Amino acid sequence: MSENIADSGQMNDGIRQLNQSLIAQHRALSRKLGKTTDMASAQAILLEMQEINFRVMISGSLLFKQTTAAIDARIQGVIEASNELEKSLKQLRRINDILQATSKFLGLVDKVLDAIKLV
Amino acid sequence: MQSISSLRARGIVASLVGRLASRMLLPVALLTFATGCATAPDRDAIPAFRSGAATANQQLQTSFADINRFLRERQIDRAASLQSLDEEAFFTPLAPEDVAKWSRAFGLIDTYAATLEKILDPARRDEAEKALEELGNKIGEVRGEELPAGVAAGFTQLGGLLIQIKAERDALAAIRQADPSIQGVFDTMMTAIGADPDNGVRGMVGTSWGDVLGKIQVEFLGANGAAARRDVAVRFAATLDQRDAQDADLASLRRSLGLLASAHRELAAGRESDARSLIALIQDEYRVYRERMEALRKSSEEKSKENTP
Repeated sequence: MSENIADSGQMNDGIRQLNQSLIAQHRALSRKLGKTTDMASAQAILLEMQEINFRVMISGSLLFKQTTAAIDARIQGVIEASNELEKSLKQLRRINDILQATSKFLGLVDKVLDAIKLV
Repeated sequence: MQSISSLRARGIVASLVGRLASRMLLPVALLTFATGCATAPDRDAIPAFRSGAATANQQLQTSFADINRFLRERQIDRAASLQSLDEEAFFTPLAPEDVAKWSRAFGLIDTYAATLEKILDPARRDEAEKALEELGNKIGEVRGEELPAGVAAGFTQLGGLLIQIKAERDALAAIRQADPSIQGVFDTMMTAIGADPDNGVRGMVGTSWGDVLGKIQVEFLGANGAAARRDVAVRFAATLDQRDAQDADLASLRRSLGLLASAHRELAAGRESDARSLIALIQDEYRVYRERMEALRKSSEEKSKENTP
């Protein structure tokens, strides 16, 4: 289990580094395009940028999937706190229910005792 | 005249009920000693926290849908330059099942906050006091005598107070238990969005705007004459504004998540006024976001009117 977590952490870092490197390459090409005056070179740079951007999207999508999995794992603590609150709420309701049931019970006892008294 | 056996029976029943009541209240009473110095969470700060989280979720869902549409257009631009068309050229970068998990996380945070709100509801103490008052009256009736007025009222108020203390103690314990997870969830969301335009979702959106700008730069090289070049330059400048506006939205969303995390940390520390002022900042972020989106929408409409022959 811990090996899996370590593996997934390394994979996450690997994808992040790849994503960063692709973004840096894209920025460098964009700067180069800004200085190019030749139409054919400019079109070639744009095609290269589109290819790199497509890979930025793929690696970005994988990173998003992995961070989402981390969110899903971390939300467990909130679920546990919610369950504790629900338990507490039930206890508080039970105290009220017991008080009400006891009052009803006493009302019944009173009636029975009145009946005994009449006999 | 009541018979002696009837009076004895009433006495036994009342005594049993009295013991039962004291047993029920004893654990709660002990909590008052254990939690005498604990800070009570303010219920009024919780609806504001819930509203802040709902606002951030709404902003997030809208932004992610816009981003997926925008990135799909870039995939289409790329596909136009390919030799053959393949299904693999198209995918949804922020996958719907992942976006749904973000929404689920917000839903669970809301459920947790709603339960907190219920537990701190002042009506809970009123209900307990009413039930205790009723019980006090019944004990009096069974004993065949009225409890002294001061004793009955004191018993009722003490019971209500103990219930309130237990509720506040449990709520604060849950807030402190949930806080590391809440911090972790919001921190991870912020990382996914990206600390700057070169990271996370912001990085992916930034390079895609780079492609849009690149296309206009190539058009510029092919434009004949100063007037034609000026038109292209105007479009280039407008596209830069759109890129910056979208990045500002993501940065704003990231700030909102950070403010929510800070607000919860303040709640856990019992500083509710700080929590409320932080949540007010989230509402401000959302207001600015909506104004920016409205301005962008108007600008796009005007542009499409200009382009209509």
